[in-house]
Amino acid sequence: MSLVTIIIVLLSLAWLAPLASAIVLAYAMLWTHRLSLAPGRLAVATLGLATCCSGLAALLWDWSREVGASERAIHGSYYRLLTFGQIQVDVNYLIDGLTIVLFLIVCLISTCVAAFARAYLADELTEEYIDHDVHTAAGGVVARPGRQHQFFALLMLFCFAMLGIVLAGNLLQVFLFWELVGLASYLLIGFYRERPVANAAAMKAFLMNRVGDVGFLIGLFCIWQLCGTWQFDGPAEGQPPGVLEAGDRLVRQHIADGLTGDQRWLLLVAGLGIVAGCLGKSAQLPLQTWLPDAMAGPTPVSALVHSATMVAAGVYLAARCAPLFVPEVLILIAYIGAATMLLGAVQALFSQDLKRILAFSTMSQLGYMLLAIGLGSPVAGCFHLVTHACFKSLLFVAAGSVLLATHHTLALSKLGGLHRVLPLTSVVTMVAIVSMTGLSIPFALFGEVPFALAGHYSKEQILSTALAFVSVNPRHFILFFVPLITSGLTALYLMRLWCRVFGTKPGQSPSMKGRASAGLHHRDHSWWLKGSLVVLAILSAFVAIGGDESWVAKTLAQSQQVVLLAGAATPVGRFPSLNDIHRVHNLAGTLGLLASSLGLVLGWLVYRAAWFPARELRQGMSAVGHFIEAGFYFDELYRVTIIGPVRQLAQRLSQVDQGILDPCLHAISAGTTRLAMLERRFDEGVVDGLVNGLASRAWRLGLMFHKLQTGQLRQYLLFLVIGIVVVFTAVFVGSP
Amino acid sequence: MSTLLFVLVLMPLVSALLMVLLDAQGSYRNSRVWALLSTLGTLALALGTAGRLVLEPIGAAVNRGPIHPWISVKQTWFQLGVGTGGKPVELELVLGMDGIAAWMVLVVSLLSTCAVLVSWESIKERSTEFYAGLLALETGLIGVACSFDLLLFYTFFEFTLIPLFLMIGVFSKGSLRDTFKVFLLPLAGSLLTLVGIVALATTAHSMTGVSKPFSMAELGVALAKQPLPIEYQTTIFLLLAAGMIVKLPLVPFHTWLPVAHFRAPITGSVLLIKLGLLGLLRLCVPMLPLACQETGLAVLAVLAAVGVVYGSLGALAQDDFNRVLAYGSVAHVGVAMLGLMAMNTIGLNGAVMQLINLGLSTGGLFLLAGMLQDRFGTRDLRQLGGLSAKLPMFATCVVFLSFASIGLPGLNGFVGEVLSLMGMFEVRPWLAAAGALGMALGAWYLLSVIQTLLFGGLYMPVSRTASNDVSDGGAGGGPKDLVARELFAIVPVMAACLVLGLCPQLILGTIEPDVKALLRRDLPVEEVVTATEPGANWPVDREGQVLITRESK
Repeated sequence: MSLVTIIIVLLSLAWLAPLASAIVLAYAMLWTHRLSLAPGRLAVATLGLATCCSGLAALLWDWSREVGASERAIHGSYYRLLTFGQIQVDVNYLIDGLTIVLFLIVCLISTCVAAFARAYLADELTEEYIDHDVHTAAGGVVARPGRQHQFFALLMLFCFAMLGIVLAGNLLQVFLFWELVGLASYLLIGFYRERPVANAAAMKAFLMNRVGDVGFLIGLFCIWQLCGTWQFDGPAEGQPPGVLEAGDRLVRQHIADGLTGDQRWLLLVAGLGIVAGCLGKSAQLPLQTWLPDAMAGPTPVSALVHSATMVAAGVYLAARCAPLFVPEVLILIAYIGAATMLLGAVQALFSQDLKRILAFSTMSQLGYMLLAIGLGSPVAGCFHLVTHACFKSLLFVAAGSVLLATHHTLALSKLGGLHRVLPLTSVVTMVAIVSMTGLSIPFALFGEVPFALAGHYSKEQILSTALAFVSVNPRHFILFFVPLITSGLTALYLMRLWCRVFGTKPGQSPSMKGRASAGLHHRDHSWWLKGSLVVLAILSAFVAIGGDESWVAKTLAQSQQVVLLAGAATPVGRFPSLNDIHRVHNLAGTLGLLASSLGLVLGWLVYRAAWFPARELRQGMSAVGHFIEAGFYFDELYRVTIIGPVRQLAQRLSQVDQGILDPCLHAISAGTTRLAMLERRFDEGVVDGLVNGLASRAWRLGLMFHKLQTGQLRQYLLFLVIGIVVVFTAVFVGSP
Repeated sequence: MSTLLFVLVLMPLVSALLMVLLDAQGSYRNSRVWALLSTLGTLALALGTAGRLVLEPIGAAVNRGPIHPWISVKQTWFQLGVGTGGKPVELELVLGMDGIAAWMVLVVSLLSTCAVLVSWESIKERSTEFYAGLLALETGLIGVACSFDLLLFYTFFEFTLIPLFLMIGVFSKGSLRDTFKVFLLPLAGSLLTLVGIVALATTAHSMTGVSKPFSMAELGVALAKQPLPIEYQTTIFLLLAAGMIVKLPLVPFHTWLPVAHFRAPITGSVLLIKLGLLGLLRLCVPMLPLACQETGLAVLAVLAAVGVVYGSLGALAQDDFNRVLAYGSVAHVGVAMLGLMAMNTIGLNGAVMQLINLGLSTGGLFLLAGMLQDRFGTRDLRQLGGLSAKLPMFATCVVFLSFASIGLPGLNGFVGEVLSLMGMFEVRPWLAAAGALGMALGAWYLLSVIQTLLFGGLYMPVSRTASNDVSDGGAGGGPKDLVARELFAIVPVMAACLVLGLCPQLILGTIEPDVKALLRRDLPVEEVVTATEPGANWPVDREGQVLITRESK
């Protein structure tokens, strides 16, 4: 068995194991009982297996590079989905550096989150789960059987679908798992299906994604028209190239103005369509409002699905398809990313809800990734995807630990002083915060690169790409300043988060501390929880150690061109080359560090040292605060401009059916009936009159002849003879 | 195998007649068992004949006309006259089966069986009429799929209206006006279709001299060799399409459908297969291609695109589950029509798949609506809520089939929708975009139903069943979840949705030869096969395809 085959088998196993596990878990009630710990164990074991497999595959991948394997990617086919004529759609795989890294990260984080979920959803292990958030009409609480096994089944389904996206070798397959991920997310957000809030959030998430997916689908059609395939890579030499190669060529022709009008439009719409799909999935403007609401799902779902993996699928797809995007689309992505990152950061700063802060922060960080892709550096975007997945899932798991300890208290105003109570959670949260803000020790501790936690390196790459782009295209200066400012804001809201949750609030300390410890559930001490916190903390700290030379960065860079359109002058500006980026690397890093430190210090001063009373600050700008807290009224905007009118239109249309189309039909049928009545009158008056007249004549004639009927035989005989004579005469005279 | 076709088509009708003649006043227990046995028998036969064709598509003959039954029974009914060269002109009746028909027959016979199972307890009054109507309807549907001449096709096409009319008339408490709307509007359209059929046969005969102008296969070959002039095509197309549009239905002729679904007993709803699509596919696409490309694209495709959005929006505003589904099927039919009118292989494949999928996923949802009606005596979404707490299995089935209907990849709806829209995208991107928008709206109305009906707080009317059980005071009070009988009805449908979603090649592989042939314009003048009989000694070419060169006469 060759090395390549082993890698394929390992990854396929890692991909399919969760599916098998999902099926087994869906029928858990057949082989175990509701209180059993087995479903959770099975889930963690499956994901552990998947992690081992993908880890091994990563090792082998590296080894195969060392022994000199030259091909950029492994691709092949599992199964032919459909064929007609020359059109063939397969279920196939594409394994390159990006796949390897994302597989490993998704598996690792899923394992940690599943372990955390065991602790978090332990209260589902009961016959009578009392849901305090739901009330019956009579005001009582609702009790239902616990359903931890269902949760794990859905989680496994999600992992299968997510890994399917990463492994997919063609766009239709991506779409297939893309939708499946959407379904899993729908069911997971609505896991507490008795809660109206959760239902509404689930539906909102699915529908907003669906809007993006319509775009994606149209993009797929365009790509089919352009390339005649959906395969990423061409199957072999001599056969038509795959989407990526063909797309790259088309984009270059587009820049050189060598495309026909139709092709130009198709290429543009293909890019826009795929971007629409990505915006929906990654919760970017204008399809971002579902993400904060999605926090209505259980916290492990938020940790895995809505921060680390599913929302990253949009970024993954954008990065994968980046060669297909024309410069106009790329710059659009960059601006959308920049706008969303600022919006998210500001909302996070003003939000009062622990999980929603993290959700906004996710939006904001996803904006960074899209910005990098839009500026022609998909590898930087993916690098940030990896580091973000680690520290954001850590933050969510930590938030889950807080929720467990405080009876699911989410409001910041009711939290505080938890550092004493949950020291481990507090420390790992700090690790995540440091990683995310991108702090570093600005001198080299080990070798060339400065020592820092993971987030620093990836953010620095993005910032330097942005700076390089802006330095050659000064009119797009906003694309550097927004991420820089957002970087400061990020530090500020994270500091606020830590201080308000873990730090002792000024003037509140003793009582808060007492209250928190009194209400503490000591589930924080569950080894599953602690373990996942520690592992995720280690990941958040060290996953990117070495910066550009780290394993993650190097493996990602093998997957495709590190920079797109490097140095190419396009209608929207010149894209920076790798050299341009390296030149501004240090400057960007320093500026970023400055911004973050400023944010952190400010945060410390305001929220911890009470150097400036935050409460008054809030009151001073309460109008703005409300505006921002309400999500910039995006929900209202959509309600007024889209949802309301559509529902109105729906009502109107069914009124049209009942008020216009039906009456028309009825009028026609009534007209026909009236016509029939007229006809009846005609029949009765004219035709019947005629017929009746005839009949009465005949009757009278009959009466006349009646007189002939005398009853005398001789007379009859006479008539008979006369008759015969007459007939015979007539016959003989008539015939010649 | 060919003779089995007769049995397959007539068996439900004959057993319906037997039921009425022998046991007209019998109890519902007898009639339902009889009905179940007949539908199961038909299903077995269908699996035997159609299933075999599905597994072994023998119709991939190289030289074949646009329409070509893989197996067939022919009978000349009478001689119409004498054509050129002294050849007799005959009216030939052909019952046959090709790949498309095979799938239709399978779906119809499966759904009929399911419909009997679901009506098992709910139809107790006048059960003989009900089951006889159901069986007659089954014959009509199978007959339409298996007719390969214009006359039989039209006869069965119209025949389906009669049992439906009776069932709605007998079993709904609605006004007679509604019943007439359901009956007369399609009938009015169909009469135009009849005119069109006669016009097609006579025109084709006088222009091409075809000797059997009513046989679809002969007609198809003749018209592919020598197409009619465009103005003839357009006129005949409009006449033929008139009936199909109403039957489908396309906006604005759709208002009878919600009424039909609202009034009809379960079976009527489940078995309202979209025959109009088949009609367009068999009659218009191969015989009047120019008209399809011009008038069809300009009128029908636009109506279809409007219908997709209109139907989805209409569904959003309904309160009755059946009416939601009825409007939804207007939207789904619109998508299929978009594929059909694209007049390319992708689109036609999509349209046929959509036709089969609609039967399965929408049919399945109607079955579930029937179960809802059984339990609560209502399908009003305003009176029901949070049922997943009480009826978890029911809820699972509704969610599954809804997602199949929404077009979730991996389930059957997706491939049909994507292929239909892709086909249209090549011709008219904007219409395809409207169709894609309809997909998003489709998710909206079905998710709304799921949200109000299944999730959230439990809310249900005090129904017969519920009140009985509550008076018992047991903890397990209220309506029961699906019983085994109902599971037997719904699980095969769901399984079919899953299998066809994961392996669409099953359908595509079977229908591909037929669909490709529909668009063939490069027929050689000689050597066209109009019918084949499966035999052992077929020459087989390199790729394992059966080569049939010439019909032996």
